[in-house]
This record gives sequence, structure tokens and C-alpha cells, in this order.
Amino acid sequence: MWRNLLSIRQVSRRTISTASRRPLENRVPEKQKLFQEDNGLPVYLKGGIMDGLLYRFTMGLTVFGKAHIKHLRFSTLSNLLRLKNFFGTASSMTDTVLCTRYSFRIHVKMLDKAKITHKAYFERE
Amino acid sequence: MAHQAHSYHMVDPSPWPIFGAAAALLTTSGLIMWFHYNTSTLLMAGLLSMLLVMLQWWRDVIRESTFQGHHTPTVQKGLRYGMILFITSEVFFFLGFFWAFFHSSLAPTPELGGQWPPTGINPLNPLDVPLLNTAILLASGVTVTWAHHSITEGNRKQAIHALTLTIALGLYFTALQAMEYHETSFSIADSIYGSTFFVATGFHGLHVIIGSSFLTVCLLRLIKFHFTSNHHFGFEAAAWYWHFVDIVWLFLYMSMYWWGSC
Repeated sequence: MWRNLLSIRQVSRRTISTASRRPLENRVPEKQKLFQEDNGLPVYLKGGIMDGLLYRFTMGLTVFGKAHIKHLRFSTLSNLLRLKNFFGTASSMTDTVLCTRYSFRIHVKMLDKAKITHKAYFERE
Repeated sequence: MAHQAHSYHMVDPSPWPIFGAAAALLTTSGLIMWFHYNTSTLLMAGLLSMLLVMLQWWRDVIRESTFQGHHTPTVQKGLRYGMILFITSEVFFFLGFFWAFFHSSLAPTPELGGQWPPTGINPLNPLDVPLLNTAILLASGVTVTWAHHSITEGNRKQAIHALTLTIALGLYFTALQAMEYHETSFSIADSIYGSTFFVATGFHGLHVIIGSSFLTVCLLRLIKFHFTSNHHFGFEAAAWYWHFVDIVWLFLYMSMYWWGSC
């Protein structure tokens, strides 16, 4: 009976744990071997297939964005100055040149108007 | 294969600088589209590409240093200079906002009621949450130093605990500050008081988030055995940045919260 009691005591004192006992291993030497392999790959592609995919995705995003801006720049500018109907141009290059000339003319007109309304400001000593 | 006869690092050609510039262009154009045309597609593309570029660029720096061994003492010296210069530039960035604050608060105009804080503004009580936030950041300065000492002494477990505590304190600060923003009776649009307060503390909060992120990356690297007891510059750079963030807060607290509420 004593032995049974003692064994129960031992069981109750045994640590119950569900935590993983495996400590995190140092995998740096494996990485060092991978990235020092003489395969001619640049560092940004040397890690594996994911590197290439991530690179292509980043490039796609930035290139798509830049193309989107170019499209917006011409459509927004010309809409703002209402040139599309007025000039009826086909090329976006002409649009830019005309937009620049037109906006310069507007600028000069605005300055003239400012001189009339704010005479005192422009004539001060 | 010829070996280099110098201790500098000639980096592999990399696409990240040009992609980073493109990402900055997308983000700024995206901001304009969002402000003026109420569309956020370009802005989202810009922010996502910025994040991708940062992740991959800094991933490559880790590969070049920890895995390829390119960070000689000479290279590390250059990185130290670089980080110091960058933090100095950030100091000047904040100096501008402090200049704006003192310009307006030392000589309050009649439009503000000739007083500071301006008429009608109820400032936050500096002895309330702002004082707690001060204590939190000061404590985090202690814990990050504790982490550094643990790393140099080769005590891995303590270093992980101390760095985790530092990050937790940083997150606690951010959460409290967000709650404070919600509690203020004034907004950014409420005269120059609101502008100077929210722009300065807002940029500081952003820097706390950046610093916490930097420290989190260091924690992950610490757990993965990237640091040695005498070579852990990434951690040192993060710790310097964190101390800078702490000191900016102390100036913010003393000038805007404390002096600025009297």
C-alpha cells in the first residue's frame, strides 16, 4: 500500500507540459553555405525561387504604376484645362506642349488681373 | 577568381534603388490622386511597392553581412557614420516643427486671444497620460540598454526578454498616444495650436512605430542567432534610433505638453 501511495506522489509531481522542448536551432551556417555558393547569382536572387517571384512582382507593380501615372497625367491635365475638345489632338506629346503654352498664357492673364485688383500692393514703394 | 585587395564592400548590382525611386513617385502621385480625385488605387500601389522594396533591400543587407561576411570593421565604420548622419538629419527635421511651435507660442497673435494656449483651447493635462508616456519611454531606454549588455555578455535568454520588453513598452506608448488623440477636445484644424501639436506629436508617433518595427526585426534576428557578442551593428543602430525617439519625446513633453499648457 505504501508503494502505491509513493508512486501516486511521484506521478503527481511529474511535470506536465505540452510545450515543444526542441530549442530553436542555429541555421546560420546553412544560410552562409547557400549565399556563398559560387553560382553567379546576385544577392537579390540567391535565396531561391521566391526571390525571383518577389522581384518580378515588385517590378510589375512599379512599372504598372508608372504607366498609370503617365496615362493620368495627360488625361488629368488636359481635362483641367479643357483642351481635349478645343484642340482635338491625337498625340499626347502635343497635348503636353499645348498644355504648357496654354497654362503659361493663363498665368500671365492671372498676373495682369492681380495687378488691377491689388493696385496698391503693386504700386507700393 | 581574383580576390579584392581592400576591406570595402563592392555590392552586387541591385534593382532596389531604382524601384524605390519609382515607389516614391507612385506614393506621392497617389497622395495627389487621393486628395483631389478621391481615388486611392495609385496610393495603395505606391505604399505596397515601398514596403516591398524596403523588405527586399534590407533582406539583402542581412544576406550580405550575416551570410556572406562582407561587413568588415571598415564597412561597419561606414555604416556607423551613415546611421549617425541619418539621425542628425532627423533631428533637423524635428527642429523645424519645434521652431514653428516656438514662433507661434512665444508671441501669440491677437487672433489667438494674445495668449498661449489660445482662447478656447483646453490642453491635455501634462501630469496625466503624457507623464505616463514619458515614464514608458524612459523605461524602454533602460530595457534596450539591458538588452545590449546581455548581447555583449552572450546571455541569449536575457537579451530576448529585454528586447521583447522594450518593444512591448513601445507598443504601449503607441496605444496610449492613440487613445489620447481620441480624447483631445481640439483637432489639427484648431488654430496654430492644433497644427503644431498634432504635426509634431504625429511625426514623433510615426517615428515610434518605425523604431518599434526596427527593434522587432532585431528581435527576430536575435532569436535566429544572427548576432554575435562583438558584432551586432543592426541592433546598435536600432538602439541609437530608439534613444533618439525618446529624447525627441522629452523635448516635446517639456515644451508642448508642459510649458505649452500653462
